[in-house]
Amino acid sequence: MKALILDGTIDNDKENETLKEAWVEGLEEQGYQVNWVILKQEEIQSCIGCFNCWTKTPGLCIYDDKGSDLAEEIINSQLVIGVSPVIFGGYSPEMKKMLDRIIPLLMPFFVKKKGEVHHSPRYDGYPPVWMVGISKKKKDEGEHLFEALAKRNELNWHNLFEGHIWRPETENARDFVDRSMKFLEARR
Amino acid sequence: MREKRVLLLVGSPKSKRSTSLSLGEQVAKNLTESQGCVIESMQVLKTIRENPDELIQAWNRADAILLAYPVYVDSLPAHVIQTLMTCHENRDDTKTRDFGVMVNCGFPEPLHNRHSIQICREFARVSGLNWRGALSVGGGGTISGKPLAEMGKMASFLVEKSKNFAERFFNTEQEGSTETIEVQLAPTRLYMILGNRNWVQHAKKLGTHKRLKDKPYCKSH
Repeated sequence: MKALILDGTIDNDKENETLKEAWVEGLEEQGYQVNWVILKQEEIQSCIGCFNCWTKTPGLCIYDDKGSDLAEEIINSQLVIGVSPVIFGGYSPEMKKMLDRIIPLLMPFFVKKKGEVHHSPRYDGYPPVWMVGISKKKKDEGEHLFEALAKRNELNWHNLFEGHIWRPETENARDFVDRSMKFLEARR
Repeated sequence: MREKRVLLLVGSPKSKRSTSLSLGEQVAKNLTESQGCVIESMQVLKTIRENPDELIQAWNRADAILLAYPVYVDSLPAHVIQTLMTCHENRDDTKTRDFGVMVNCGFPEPLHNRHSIQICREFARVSGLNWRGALSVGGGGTISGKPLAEMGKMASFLVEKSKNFAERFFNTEQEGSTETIEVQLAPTRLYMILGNRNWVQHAKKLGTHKRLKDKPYCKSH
């Protein structure tokens, strides 16, 4: 089983390192082979909205870069963990740049889902995504938005896409990881 | 009284014409005509990459900022988030500024824009800007970068709503002046049928229609 961790953090602080160690340890104990990718260290082009991945080169982005490599790795993983600071209630630019590049994994065609129009799936299955929002503040509107954003993403992802806030000041990284794993297990 | 200086930020990554540009131009035109505003316009992706200082200076000298952007994966495109972070970190907060957005999505329903608008509103709160609401458009694909004034009847409702958005922008007294104005350009079912047909027709021109459902990364799934 493969688990891909997309690290969209901006700072190199101690909490991020602690969280990394806790996820790798927790996932390996569950039998996952873990790949941790620090997005800010990778050359990933921004999506330019050309839609060539839907028409000219179906399923493939025109940029042959790390963004495309990661899109392939996402669809062939059994679990994807995203790590991002909460930025105005959303994801960091690094995390969002990668998410903007996953549209080749979907089809251009419109379908109705829960009464709304969405894009149909290209693949038969999608890995569950667990998006961790690191917050060093007291609970505020931004955190609520972060979790709600992941819920919106779930409608387009055709599988579980959950956002959860981790507060390093109040919860040990390993406790957070264990809590997350239990939740994922229950939803499996 | 000195005329208001408005910075129009166009968040579409497209280098040519975009729906965001069409919406931005229309509202900017209304602000100039009805309120004598001076508009300074910038394409976000190009400026943040090539000259971020120019963007910060324009942000700091503006009385109001209008952001026009497309929704990407339920939120703002990555480079627009980066731009907001840069402007937030370098803002001159001795001056109050107004902030409003014009957003469009490729789905027929404008409801897909709502979450990104909440993020923009949260940005305004954190950055000390006066939130002035949103013009939210569903079915951006029908505009595809055409100037709204040239679209005739099809966009007349949107032209009218753009005018309303501009008229209330600086009018803090007006009731509901920060509420979102939502516009759906085409009926949902019709948009779905035509949209799905357009993808196939476009692929036929490219000779790729038989490969539209390819799964190039298929291994375990």
